Amino acid sequence: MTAEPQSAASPLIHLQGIQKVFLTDEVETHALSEIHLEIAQGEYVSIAGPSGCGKSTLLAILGLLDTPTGGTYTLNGNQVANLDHSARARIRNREIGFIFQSFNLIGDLTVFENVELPLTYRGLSAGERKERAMEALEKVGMSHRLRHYPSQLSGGQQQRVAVARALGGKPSILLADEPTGNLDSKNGEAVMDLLRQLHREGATICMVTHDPRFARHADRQIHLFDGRIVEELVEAR
Amino acid sequence: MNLRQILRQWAKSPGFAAVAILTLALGIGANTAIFSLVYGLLLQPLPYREADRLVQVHESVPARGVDRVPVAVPNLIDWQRQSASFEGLAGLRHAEYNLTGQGDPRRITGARVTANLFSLLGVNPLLGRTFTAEEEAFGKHFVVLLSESYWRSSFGADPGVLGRSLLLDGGSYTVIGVMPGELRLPSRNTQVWTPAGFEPEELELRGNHSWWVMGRLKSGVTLEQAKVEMNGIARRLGEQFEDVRDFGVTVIGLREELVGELRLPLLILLGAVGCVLLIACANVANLMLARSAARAREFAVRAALGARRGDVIRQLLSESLVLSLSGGVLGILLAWWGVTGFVGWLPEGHLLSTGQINGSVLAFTLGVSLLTGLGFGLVPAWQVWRTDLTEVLKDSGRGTTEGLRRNRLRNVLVVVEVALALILLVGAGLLLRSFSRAQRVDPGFKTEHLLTATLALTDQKYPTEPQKAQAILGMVEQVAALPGVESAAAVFGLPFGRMQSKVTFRIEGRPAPAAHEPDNANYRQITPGYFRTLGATLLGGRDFELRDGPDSARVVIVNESFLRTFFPGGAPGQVPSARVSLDGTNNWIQIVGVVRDIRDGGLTQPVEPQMFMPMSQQCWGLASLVIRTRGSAETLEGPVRRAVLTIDGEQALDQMRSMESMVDDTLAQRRLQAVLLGAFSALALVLSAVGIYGVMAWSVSRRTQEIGIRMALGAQWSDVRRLVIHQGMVLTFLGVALGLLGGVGLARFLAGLLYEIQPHDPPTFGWVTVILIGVSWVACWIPARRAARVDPLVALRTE
Ligand SMILES: Nc1ncnc2c1ncn2[C@@H]1O[C@H](COP(=O)(O)OP(=O)(O)O)[C@@H](O)[C@H]1O
Ligand SMILES: [Mg+2]
Repeated sequence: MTAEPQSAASPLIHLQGIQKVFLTDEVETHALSEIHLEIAQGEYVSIAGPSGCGKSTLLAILGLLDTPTGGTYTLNGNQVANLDHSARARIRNREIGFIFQSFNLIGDLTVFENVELPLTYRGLSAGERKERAMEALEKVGMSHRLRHYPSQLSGGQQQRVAVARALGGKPSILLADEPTGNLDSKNGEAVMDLLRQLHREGATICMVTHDPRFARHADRQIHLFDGRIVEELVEAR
Repeated sequence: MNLRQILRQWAKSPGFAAVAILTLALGIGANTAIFSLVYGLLLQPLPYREADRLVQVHESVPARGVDRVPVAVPNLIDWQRQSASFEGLAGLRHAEYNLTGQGDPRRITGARVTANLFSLLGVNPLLGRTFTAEEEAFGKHFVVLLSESYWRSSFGADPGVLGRSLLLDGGSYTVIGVMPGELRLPSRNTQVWTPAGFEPEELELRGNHSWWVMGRLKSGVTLEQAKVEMNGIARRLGEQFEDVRDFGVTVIGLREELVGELRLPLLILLGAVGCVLLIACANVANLMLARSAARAREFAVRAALGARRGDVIRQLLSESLVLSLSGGVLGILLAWWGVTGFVGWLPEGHLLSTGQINGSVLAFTLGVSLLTGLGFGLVPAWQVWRTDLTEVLKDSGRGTTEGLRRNRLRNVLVVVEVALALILLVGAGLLLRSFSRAQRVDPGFKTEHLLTATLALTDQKYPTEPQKAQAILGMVEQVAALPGVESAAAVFGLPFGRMQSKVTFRIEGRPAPAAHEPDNANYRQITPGYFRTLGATLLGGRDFELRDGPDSARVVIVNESFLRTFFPGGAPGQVPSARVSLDGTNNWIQIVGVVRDIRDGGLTQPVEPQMFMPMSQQCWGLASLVIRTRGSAETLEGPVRRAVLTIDGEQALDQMRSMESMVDDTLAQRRLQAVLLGAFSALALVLSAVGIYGVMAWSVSRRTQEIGIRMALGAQWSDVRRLVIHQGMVLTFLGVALGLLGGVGLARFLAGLLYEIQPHDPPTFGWVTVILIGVSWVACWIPARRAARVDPLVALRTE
């Protein structure tokens, strides 16, 4: 399967002049300034930069976990920068798939229940949830560990379950914040292979990483410095 | 860990220490308070020498299921002569005297006692001497002993009171001594004691049961042996004398006699506060668990520095002991305050007013505090024992949220709390509903705007019955003429009053009843207009009139219960044309009227058959005035007193009170039980709500990460709230299920205290469940709201 070419006129994500200012103890931190960014359907974008340059903040805004202080954010043609809490939760649930550095599986739930969890917030029937969760788990090769608890899995396995959880909702985009940060290199590579595989199958991915080896997997590499995009490399294929 | 370190710890989290100490203080305080009542009533040694050998001896009528009948004097004398079980048997009888010659005439409360009573009890006079055997004889009996409090209040504690004389019922009695305050027989209010001075006819009449008898068992003789012996004597007397044909004897320990029906409610209350304390312990244990979990790193570091597990546990235990002792001290203050207030609120002379915080109570509190401290201290200590402290240090930044299964212990504690609270609520609910039922009972007459007062005419002044009746009718007439009085009447056997009497009788044309058949009725003497004044309903026949005098045909009015018992099958209110005889002669008395039942023995007592005689045909000189007033009953007290004095300038009125307050008194016991159990179950409810809140709040704070992740994955606020409330409600429902089972068990104990409420009363169980679930829902709602405020960004953070 190959990625469908996306017309530049209607990108999946369009950020225009996004800025984020944190106010703590009367001190302003300009975490992001004047970010312009477009991500097309099916693209694989990586974000790199030194610690504290605003990568996670950008991802949080993309994932509607946080709201920008200024600028516009268009997702699938809709303005989403200033929606209320409930609408943002709904969009997170339907359009966004998160993959975290620390996996963030819920310890009390089994592998299957973890993957099923976002689907329960959507009011899908049990049968449909099961079908989708199983499909996602098969994709990441974890369908044989349904009844295990996260603590019974290795780090690499846990992250694969986390990827399945992100996939289960068939999101418009997968957002990953240093998904290999807590993994050894062998497991890290396995997860990266998995993401590349998903991309090949059509998934749109935006991933934060500071490992240049993995950044090269992406179609585009964006470099942040001090809250600004300083460089954009398009990988020649 | 020393005290200073503990205090420093508390200073760092003052909220924890404050909540823990306050919770413990409430639990320990409640226990201290109730224990002080239990101690005062059930455990405290009675102020008599070797009081465990003191007994109360009653006559009984086993065939009628009556186990306590006062004793007739000839029987007492025969018992004294024939029994070998006792060192002695003494008689006493409540008496009231008209005290004159000291300002306005007054009623004072006293008792006639046999001379051996004081030596039998082992009570010595404070001043002077007690009675000699000679003074017991009729005619030689004009000597009197004063109670300490009467001596202090009326004689300024003057030692010179000895040798002075008191005019009691017109007789001059010489004061020979003062008895110490501990002597509370026959009642706490007794002001004077006089010698028995048995009158000649008292010595004759075996059917006149009116004396209390106390005995001291010989050492080595058991209650059982005494019972057997006494019943043997009673049987022999029964064969000899027709009047005591079916009589037996009940022998009962003095404590049992005094405490009587308060024992069960008190023990139930003690159980209730025990539950409250358990809940308090569970709460504090939970707080300690939360803290020791938060301090796991501290413990781990200590362990790394070479502390052994035992050291950490000792630290936890000493901290919990300091907590519980602090709670104990505050609890004593709360209890002192509560008991003082409670005793002050009780009616004068109530049995429970012996409650006070004394040395024994303090020792109890100390014991409870230490046990409590160990109880809730062991829980976190055990937790620490189970965890490998060195693991705690390694444990960091794992890829999953922390499991909740570790909290199983805390959840169990919450479930238990909820169950205990529910049990107490069930008990309180049942008692409250019984109380409200009892309160709504129709007494059969109108209790409002009714003033009552009691008087006793002396034989000295009014030797014959017609003279007595004349005087009482005169007083009624005077009172009825007062402005503000609608009508007035007099009665012997006032509803809810102290003077009650029963008679046995025969019905004309019927054979004498067999032993198991009813043959008696309550006996009342009334003046015309009594029923109208009371607001009672005459169902048929006629009321008494002035023409029912000493020389006209004798008449009687009976109540519905009388008809039901003796003339079943007749139409209600239909006056049977029948005659009865009270003295076994052919002196027949015609039934002329039927009155609707008046519940005058207590609102929740079944109504017994009653006979009302016209006072003009039979009058003992003991009577209560009942006065229907236009306005508030109390305002007429002065005018009524003066109106009576116009007929007899020496006549004292006693116990002047409104009927409403008398009705209220009959509910006092129920109210007391319901209020106390209600208060403690409310406390239990609050504490368990705090417990649920604490566990849920703690759980939410521990689950912040998880909640953030859920929100990042698209959970709505309502999803998050539901998550938390669901967790809390599962615990609640488990507790409720357990509690309902326990409640059914408790209700069985309570059955005897209930009135027209079944122990498994569905509305009580239903409401209590609803209330508890509601409260715990609110307790979950607050942390649930906090959970919904978690920022989903935490999901992105990595430690
Ligand atoms: N909630 C916050 N409050 C205040 N400052 C923040 C907050 N989150 C991030 N920052 C600041 O914003 C900047 C960017 O942070 P972040 O996006 O986490 O960087 P990165 O992920 O690239 O390491 C940093 O200076 C950080 O301190
Ligand atoms: Mg980051």
